[in-house]
Amino acid sequence: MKNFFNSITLSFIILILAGFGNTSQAQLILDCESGNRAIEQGNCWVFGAVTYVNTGVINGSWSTRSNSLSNPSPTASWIKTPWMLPGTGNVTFQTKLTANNGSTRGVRLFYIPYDPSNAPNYEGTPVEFYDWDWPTLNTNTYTITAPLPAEIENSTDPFRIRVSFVGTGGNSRAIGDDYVFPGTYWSDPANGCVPLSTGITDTDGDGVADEDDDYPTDPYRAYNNFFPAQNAYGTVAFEDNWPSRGDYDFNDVVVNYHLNRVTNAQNQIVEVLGTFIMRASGASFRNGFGFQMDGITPNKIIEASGFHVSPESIITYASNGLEANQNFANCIVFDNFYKAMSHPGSGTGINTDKSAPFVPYVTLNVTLKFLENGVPAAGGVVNLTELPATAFNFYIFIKQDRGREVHLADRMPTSLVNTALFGTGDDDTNPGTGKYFKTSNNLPWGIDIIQGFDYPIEKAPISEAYLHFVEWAESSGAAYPDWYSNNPGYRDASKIY
Amino acid sequence: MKKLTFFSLSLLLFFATACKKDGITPTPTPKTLNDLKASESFKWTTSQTVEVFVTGLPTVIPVKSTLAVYSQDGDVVYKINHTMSQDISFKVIVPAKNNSLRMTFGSFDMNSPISDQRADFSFIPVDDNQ
Repeated sequence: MKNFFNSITLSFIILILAGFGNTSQAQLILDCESGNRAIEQGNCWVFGAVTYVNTGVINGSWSTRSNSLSNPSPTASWIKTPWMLPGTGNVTFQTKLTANNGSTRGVRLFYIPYDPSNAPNYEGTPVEFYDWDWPTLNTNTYTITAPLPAEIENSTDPFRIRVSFVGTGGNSRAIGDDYVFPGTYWSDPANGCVPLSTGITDTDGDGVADEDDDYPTDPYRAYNNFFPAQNAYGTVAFEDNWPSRGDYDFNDVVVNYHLNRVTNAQNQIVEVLGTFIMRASGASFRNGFGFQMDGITPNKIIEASGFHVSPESIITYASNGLEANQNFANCIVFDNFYKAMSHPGSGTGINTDKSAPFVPYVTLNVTLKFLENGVPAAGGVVNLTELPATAFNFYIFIKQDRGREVHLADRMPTSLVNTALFGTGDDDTNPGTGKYFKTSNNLPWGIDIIQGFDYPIEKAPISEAYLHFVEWAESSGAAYPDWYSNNPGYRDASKIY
Repeated sequence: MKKLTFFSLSLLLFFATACKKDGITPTPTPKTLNDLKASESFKWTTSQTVEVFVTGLPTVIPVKSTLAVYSQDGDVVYKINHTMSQDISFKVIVPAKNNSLRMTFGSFDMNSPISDQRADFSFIPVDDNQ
């Protein structure tokens, strides 16, 4: 019997649900074979001065062992079941003493009613329903059989059963094993082991309680997964002179981003909602901006929409709105900054020269649809673990030359990059070592500030606008991790737009 | 007077050289990006990627609830419908200056330090050794 229990995953407690036949009924079983009392505690068993031992056991590899039974109090050494709905029949277990010393030894069984007014354990007053004493003090193994009292049999109210070991004199302990309690497990390990609740509201029936469901009336959606955060935007800022190094004002393309991966109750991606705010382009080049979802094949997206396409776009779009001829899904958010935002008429670029008029930011709301009423694209579903925030790989492509794309440091290029540009100019990309879009001194062409970023004005190197930027970079981010903040002494405001 | 001048010059020379170790010239912090040589592993971002490991608890019945992970700033950065018995791992991005993460699941509310870009949580309780 013990080997059978050990062969299934939940060897320590087995819930035999009614329905196997007319004679079967649910039971809670404690055989200790997990060897780790904490697992049982996690499942709402409670132990009072009772441990697990693997020497002198009754059956299998592990048994329970009480304290030295020199205390007649039933609250000195005990085991309590999780909350259960009692069935009918007998509580059974085996027990023996570790030695034949002492005056008296015995076991006492109690049921504990549920008392909703007695937080946090909600236990009412224990009621003793069975007692048994060792006839003589010896080390023989006894099987205890205690009928459940009629007053709790088949109750629809939850109860706990407490097995107490008692005694006087000596120091012998009680070993116990193979405890069986007739009844249905009714504890909630996720909620402090209170009795299971049947009052959870789940309006859309998707298996996520309304109070946790970001879409409580939509069975196809359950959660928002924001990046960088619900009410925050990150900023990516690029230099556009790749493969030559630029002036490091990091304002040639400046975009704020906010992503929301909407998932369903199965943690599958339903849609990605991207909000992109075009802020500045201190460039004379006409640049585009997009992102790749690393590892996600294009056939897993039903439809992409909301991006800006110029009339004379150089981009080739697939039927689902993604860029064609890519191994991984690529969304071109805008193909030409200057077509989505207008030059103010003076200054080099847009929103990088304080003397030029401010051009209102343009917001693009991009939607990538993965599931339509629960049905995926031809490529199948995408789980949230397959699309972590790290999968979003932002880049620009320069001067309407699609192959001249530049990504954040060490992010992989897309299928359409012109690899002939690798290693030219100041670029020191080495795909063999995973080094991408960095100079020989490991300087980047793009930076990502998930807290958001006030970018420098035209021709002002970021190291002059942010006075601790170099220390941050030189220390690999250890020094001044908040270099972008507006703390005293951190900025030269005259060099920030 | 001559003695005093000689003594003063000697003292000045002593203090001027006392703190300099033989043959070691301190490297000045570069002031511009052009002077800078960054580490090859530096990613030029103000965030960090943390791999979160959650150890499940073998349960008697399937126990499902919402598992949410919070950055140190209190923002939810990951949210799933989770079965308590499952071991899972996933990656989140949080500000680089965060040194811990918080996770909730039902009434569980746990914190874990971030160490080597990793945070660990477990539903198996610490044995209270009653």
